[in-house]
Amino acid sequence: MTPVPDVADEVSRHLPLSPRVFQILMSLADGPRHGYAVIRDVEERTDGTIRLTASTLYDALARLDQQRWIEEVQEPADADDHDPRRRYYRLSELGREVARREARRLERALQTARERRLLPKRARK
Amino acid sequence: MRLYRVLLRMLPGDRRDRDGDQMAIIFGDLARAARRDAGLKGLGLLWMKETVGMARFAVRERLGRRGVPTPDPSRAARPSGGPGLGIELHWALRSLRARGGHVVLVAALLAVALVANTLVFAVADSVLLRRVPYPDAERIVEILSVRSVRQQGRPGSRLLTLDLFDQWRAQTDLFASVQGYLTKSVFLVGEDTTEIVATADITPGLLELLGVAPRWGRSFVDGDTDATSAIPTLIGEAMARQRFGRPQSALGERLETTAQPLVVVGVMPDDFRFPHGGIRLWRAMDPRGPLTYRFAGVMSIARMAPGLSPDALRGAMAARAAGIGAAAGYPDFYDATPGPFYVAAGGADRRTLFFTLLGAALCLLLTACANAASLELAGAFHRARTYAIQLALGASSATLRRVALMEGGLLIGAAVLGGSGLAAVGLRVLVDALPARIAADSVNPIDLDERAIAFMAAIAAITWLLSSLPVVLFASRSRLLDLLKTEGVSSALSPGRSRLRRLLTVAEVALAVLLISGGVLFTRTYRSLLAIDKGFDGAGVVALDVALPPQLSRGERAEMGSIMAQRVAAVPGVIAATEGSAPPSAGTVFGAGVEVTVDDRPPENLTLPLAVRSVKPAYFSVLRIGLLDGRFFRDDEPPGSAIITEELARRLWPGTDPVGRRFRAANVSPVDEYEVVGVIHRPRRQGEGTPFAGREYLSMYLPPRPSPPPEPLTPDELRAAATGGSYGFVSVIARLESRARAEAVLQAARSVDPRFRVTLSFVEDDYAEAFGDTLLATRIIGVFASLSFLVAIVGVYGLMAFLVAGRRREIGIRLALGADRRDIRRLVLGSSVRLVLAGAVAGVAAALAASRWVEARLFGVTPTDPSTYALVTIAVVATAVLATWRPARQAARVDPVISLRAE
Repeated sequence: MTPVPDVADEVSRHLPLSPRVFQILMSLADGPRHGYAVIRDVEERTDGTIRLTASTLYDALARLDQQRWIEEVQEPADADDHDPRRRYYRLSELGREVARREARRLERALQTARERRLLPKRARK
Repeated sequence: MRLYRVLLRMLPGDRRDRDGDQMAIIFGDLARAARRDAGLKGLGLLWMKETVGMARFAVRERLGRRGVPTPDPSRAARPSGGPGLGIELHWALRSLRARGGHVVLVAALLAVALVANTLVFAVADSVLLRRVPYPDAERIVEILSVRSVRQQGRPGSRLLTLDLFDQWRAQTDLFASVQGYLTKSVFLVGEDTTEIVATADITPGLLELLGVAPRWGRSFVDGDTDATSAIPTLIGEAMARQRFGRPQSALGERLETTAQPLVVVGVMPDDFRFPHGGIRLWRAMDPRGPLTYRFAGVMSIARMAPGLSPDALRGAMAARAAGIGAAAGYPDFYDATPGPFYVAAGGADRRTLFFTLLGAALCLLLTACANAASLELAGAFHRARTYAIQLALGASSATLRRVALMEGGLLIGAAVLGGSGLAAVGLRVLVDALPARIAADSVNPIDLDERAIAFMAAIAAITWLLSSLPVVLFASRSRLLDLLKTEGVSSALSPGRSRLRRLLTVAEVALAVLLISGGVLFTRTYRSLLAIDKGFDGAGVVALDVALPPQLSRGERAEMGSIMAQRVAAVPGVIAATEGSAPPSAGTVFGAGVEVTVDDRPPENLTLPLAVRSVKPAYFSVLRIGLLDGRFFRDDEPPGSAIITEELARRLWPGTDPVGRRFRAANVSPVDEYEVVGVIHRPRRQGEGTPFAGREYLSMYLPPRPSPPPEPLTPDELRAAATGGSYGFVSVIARLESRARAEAVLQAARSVDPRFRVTLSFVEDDYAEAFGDTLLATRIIGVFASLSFLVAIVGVYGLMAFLVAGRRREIGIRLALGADRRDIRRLVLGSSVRLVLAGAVAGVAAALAASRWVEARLFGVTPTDPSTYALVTIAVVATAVLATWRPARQAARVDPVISLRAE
């Protein structure tokens, strides 16, 4: 999926992403989630270093939505905790591209760190 | 959740409509998780985080509306209207930062004042206002009985005889459940320690009636009362952790007592406080079983039958009372009413105490408000000209108001954030400082619950509005435009415009004077209370309270007491010791109405409230009680001798010498007739001689009864001992040379038998403890008064410095026209003193009005005590003069040339 050039420029303008935004995008990367699930997922993956609350999440979601990086979707059929009141979100194509570019940027940073021996050459299992 | 909706109102309407519901759902999830994982503290933290987050969200949303992609205040300005919100916020911040130290002080003060109010509320709420924390608590009642015609009209007794209890239990159409309980003390025996634990024996259905269950283990079942080996028992969480590490580990464990052992079947959460907070063990009790042996009945608690109204219950109980009484052995009279099970610990006097404290806290808050308002006004004056120009260019005066409100909001926001942390710490300090009776007896845990947090939020909001009000009033458009017409900085400070600040300062001083006067009145009350003549010399007197296992016979107990007194007396630094009687502060046998007959007069029957105490001869010498007539007891005193207090002597034989006279007193000892051998100065019990004491007793002292030989218990006594019913107490009193000997004395007493539980207290401390409420009021009001005094003085200093700065030009002119520099100093000092005096007068007037409220709690000082008010006024004025010294000196040093050229 090659991004359209002007979209690429648009995307680059927003990098680097704040850790909070990046983590939210990561959270939505493997499928639609509702708000509370995003909070739990982010908290678990970051060992509690990023703890969102309702307001901080929706503050971020509002901006992501404005920039069309995420979109609201129907509740997926395989949802674990069925609750008709909850709204689900997923990444838009644009959002996926932004997250991917941010990941690449981080990867390059990681590579540099390895080359300069800040980190071991191979990631430890 | 309703509170969260309020928080959501910070967001613009359309955003709220779009995402508000989702946010509320998620916040609900988070709140549940936080409460589960970290309790109330977690919940509090979440609310704080959420409030901050919401504020940022709201600011960003509103800025976004103005088409500004990033929160850059410099770009938020609109050419035509006022500045954007971002700029305003920026201004508010800058204005606060410009007055650094003062802002920190005011924010800290606001925080302290908010916390003070919240804490006093939290305690008052737990102790006085809140209902017991059980589901449908309003349907839980006590059955109050009146069993004789004489007691009609008085509040009924909570104790039901077992027959009455069974009768009421049978009224299943009135009560869904009737349960009974008794409170006792149980002697737990460890390997090397013994502990007396406050215990409630409860019928198995009681927990279900309350609607609670153990957090670990199981609740009681009916079969529990049949246990023959160990009594099924629930223990409190704290005790479980302390003894077994984890609550789960307590389950199934045995607790050895001096009587039947206990087996733990469940652990109650720490917030379970039935019937009050001191209880740590609950045993399963059969009302007809051994645990009620020797008790007159049980205390009752009942849940109303579903659908029955309180009035219908009252009516039905009244209608059936006579029949039930007849069936239960009260054929002549019986009446019963339902009483709410809502233990307001303490009567009207404790209410006054808490309302006084709340009032004091409120005064402190108002002082803080006045100071914050003054600060905001100063900021507004400072910006006034800038605004005025903007206003002239068409900006709205609402801008000025908004900035002021933001400034107040930031200030109070900071105060709330700081205060939340302070409140958690402060509550622990306060609970420790509370008289033990209040803290332990409260049926509710004393904590910062939702109600306290809501209260804090509410007063924070009120504080915000109050402190911003003056600026909002000041900032009318026309006033601002007036500023443009005049020249120079001083114009903003002309008398009319600084009137508000003067008024605020006067209010600060008045509130401080009010609080200080209250503090002084309470301090003097406390000192008067401590200075009351106890009727004996309490210096260095300790009371050793020794609890002995119930298996010891009375003779053995007496022997143990005697050995202990000898060992204590042998400790170096102990002047004298004796055993057998408690000090005057505790443990007397009271007779509310003892019939006394004086023989050598025409027959006259007196019914007197009489306190009777058996004492050894050494009792009088250890306590150094003053002998007025006759003699003290001798070692071989015959049983008929009595020593009486002068009050009793005056009552029985007014105007004549009582020594050698005889009287009869019914049922106070095996002997009926007594001969007076001595008259003493009366030793007082705690609180006696103050308006807070209960009934005053007349006292007589008898020689000790010969103790029975140490022989085994009778079967009857053994049965009582087996249920842990009555264990023995022995008192030893001793006079020490210094407090430092207390530890050695305690060691000596414990050396008699490590199984005895020995506690030591200084008799003077016991007396002081009776005035715990007053001490609490004294301390709290004292702290509040000191704080508000500090603030008021800072306020006076700030205002005078501000006025002097504004009047440089005027001072310059005066000097140029030949005024003396000393006149200038006097001018400044004079205006400061006038200000403070006005405040002091208002404060004294307010204190006089308020003191009528606390009159009942004062002692040894009248509420209108002139010396108190004079002293406070002089102190405040003197301090204010000191605080004005620097501004006054600066004024006197003004160089007329420079000041005139500068403008």
